[in-house]
Amino acid sequence: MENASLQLRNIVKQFPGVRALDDVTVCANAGQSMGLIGINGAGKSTLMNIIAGVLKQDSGEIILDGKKVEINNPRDAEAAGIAFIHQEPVVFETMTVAENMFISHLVSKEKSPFLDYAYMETEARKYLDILGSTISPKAKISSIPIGDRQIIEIARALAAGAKYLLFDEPTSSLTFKEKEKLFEVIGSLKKRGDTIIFISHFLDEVAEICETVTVLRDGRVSGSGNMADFSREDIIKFIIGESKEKEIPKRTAQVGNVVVKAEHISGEKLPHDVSFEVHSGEVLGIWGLMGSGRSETIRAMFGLDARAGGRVSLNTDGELKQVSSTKLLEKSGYVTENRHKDGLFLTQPLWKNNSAASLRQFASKALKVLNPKKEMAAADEMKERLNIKAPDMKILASQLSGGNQQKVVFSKWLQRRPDFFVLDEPTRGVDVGSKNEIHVKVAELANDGAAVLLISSEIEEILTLSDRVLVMNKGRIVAEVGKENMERQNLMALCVGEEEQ
Amino acid sequence: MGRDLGTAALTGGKGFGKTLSNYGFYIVFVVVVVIFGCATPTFLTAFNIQQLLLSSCVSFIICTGLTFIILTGSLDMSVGSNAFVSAATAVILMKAGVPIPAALIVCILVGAGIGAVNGLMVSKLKMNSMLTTLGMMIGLRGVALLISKGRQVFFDSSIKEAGMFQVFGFLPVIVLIGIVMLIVGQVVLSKTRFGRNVIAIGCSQQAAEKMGIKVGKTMMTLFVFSGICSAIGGIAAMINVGAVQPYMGVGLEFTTVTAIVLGGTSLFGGKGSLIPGTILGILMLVIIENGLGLLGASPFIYPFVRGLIIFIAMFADSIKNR
Repeated sequence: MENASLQLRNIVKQFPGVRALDDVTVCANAGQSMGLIGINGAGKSTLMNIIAGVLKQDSGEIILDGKKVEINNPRDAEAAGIAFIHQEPVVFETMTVAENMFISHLVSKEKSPFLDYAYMETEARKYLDILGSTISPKAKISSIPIGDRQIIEIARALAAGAKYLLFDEPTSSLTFKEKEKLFEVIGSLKKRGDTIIFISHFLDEVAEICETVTVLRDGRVSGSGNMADFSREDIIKFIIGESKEKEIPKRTAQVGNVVVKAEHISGEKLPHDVSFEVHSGEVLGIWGLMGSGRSETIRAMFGLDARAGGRVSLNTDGELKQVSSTKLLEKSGYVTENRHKDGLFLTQPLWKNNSAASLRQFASKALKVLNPKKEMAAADEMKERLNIKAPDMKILASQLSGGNQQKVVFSKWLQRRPDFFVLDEPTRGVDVGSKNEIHVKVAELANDGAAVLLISSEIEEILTLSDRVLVMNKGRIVAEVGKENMERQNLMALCVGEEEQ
Repeated sequence: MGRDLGTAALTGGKGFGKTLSNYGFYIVFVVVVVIFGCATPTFLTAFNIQQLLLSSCVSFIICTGLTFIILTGSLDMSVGSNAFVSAATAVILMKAGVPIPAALIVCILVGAGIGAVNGLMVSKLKMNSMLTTLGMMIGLRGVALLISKGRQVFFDSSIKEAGMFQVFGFLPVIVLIGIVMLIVGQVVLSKTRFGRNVIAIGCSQQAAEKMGIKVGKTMMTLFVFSGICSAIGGIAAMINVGAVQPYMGVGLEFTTVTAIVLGGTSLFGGKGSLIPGTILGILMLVIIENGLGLLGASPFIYPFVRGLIIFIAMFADSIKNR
């Protein structure tokens, strides 16, 4: 502990009305990675922001390789060799890889105002090689898949001389293969002797690549030590305290009528000729790797991407009728992949978010005048029902933590009371506690007769919730798996297309 | 700042700066009125207030439509030229012997038509609203100069009498129309489903689409409405001035947008109001010029002050959206 390369000692940070960090001490060793876990709001982000120089601690010290350092702004942090690898890679799409890597300290030719591209490209190559990447420094970012962009961000950090790398939920938008690649990269960083802090909601990942772990709860360290000394249950107990996870209700599997029928859906690139039916009382999972066309299928079904062919029918008054895209959107509850982009109105209060998708319920017949009292009452009811942790429903959506924001996204669609739900990554970036609550809710929805289409890159989520799974690969449905054959190995094998060989 | 500061953010955001940016404008408004009221004996007289309202009424009318457009995060820069074209059409029809009510109806239809073209380009062809309507603004001015042959056109005084008739012995009809339009606009904005959908589009068009809100149709409606407001504004301007002049509506797009933003409506959309926001923004601009005039300041200083106010409005906007 005394010889840890990165030490944060007795860090305190007070925000108006709440002590975000209360005497937090964290140690990470060179050549190792330390997992930092905790639910949203536990203080992880605040802690990271302090190390990265975005926020200043009220008291406590930061010690790097035995030396006390003052970090007052992001520049200080960078100079000290600290780099923050963001959840969503920060890159300039229209520039090349090399330009992105050197954006903060572009190199000019000697005695010339022009940039020295040759030098920057050679340097970029060097760092990409360290990370075992074959990306060309001359490639435009826009041509590089999202998963690989993270590598560029890491290479950029190395080029800037980083020795302490903080990863904030780095895997949440990666495919299975990209994740493996990232872990290899982290492995090579450890070999270099770098210090890694790895923030993740996925305990499996932390267990896989971290030697030590620190768990935060309510702004305090609730547990820390060697990963090997703890069981999964220990860690969960540190995260959520003594309260136990709620059991997900047994699926009654009373499968009823077809609610939505998609026939021969094709997009301009993906998917190809996808057909499926979702029944009432059923959770239909769509499983496949990123790029297999899962989300594209949904986007094409809703007409959000141009559709090359196919039609969608919806059960209206007991009869399947073909419907337009807008009609389908109007009759569905669509939890999108990215709540910040298209799931919430961040600058609006929660009660307005709650009723936004179902204003008809609150509007008068003739003049469509809204009744805010009714809206507020409905919002308060949802707050109870979904256990949304907010002082009241008048605060803005941007003020909530990730898990609670996602609950608000759910409340918005529940308020609409549709027969058909589409859940695209419903628990991405959500803490363990909220995730469990959302899973319970989804199971209840289906038990109450809703038709649910679930897309997730987390195989556990698919296995836990689905009654039936469609496996996609390269834009096509390659298999349908019933409850009886639903196993991890099976699904994994199917989605990479081993079946075909 | 980080993605979330956890629960800290729940209680934060109530600082002094926030209060100032929320209510600062109202305070400044009152201070300005008090200063002018004390500094000049004529400022708070009924006559001067009536003149203030007359100078504001064109903006009242046009801003009713424009505020909605800005609330969605778009812009309509063609309002001034639209007002000019519509009014010129009306006057020329009247000169040609078309009965006044018919000429006014055609005038409003012209405004609506121009709005529809804007709406089509923005919502169907996905063209950038600011530059599209800027093009419309430039083009329409040419059209208006063509049909009015670049000359001042006078009209039958009976419309002027009707427009200037003082309701309750104080409020001219065109002012009343402006105020009523703003009030109705505000009610629609804050009390109806349509209004809430407009705010939704301004907050996140993508999220709005995913709820099945017909974004294209809403935008179309708003641009047509803005066109209609411009045409009515054109009529009010012509009644106010007594003629249709070649310089009618020049720079109106900038004054109106400034007033709206000054009144607290965000240029990024999703936040703002017609009352008290826009109406106070308009009055503020008019009051400052009126007050400077009463104080005997050189008229050459007005553009400078106007420029200054734009900076202040934008600065306040940027603080609020930080």
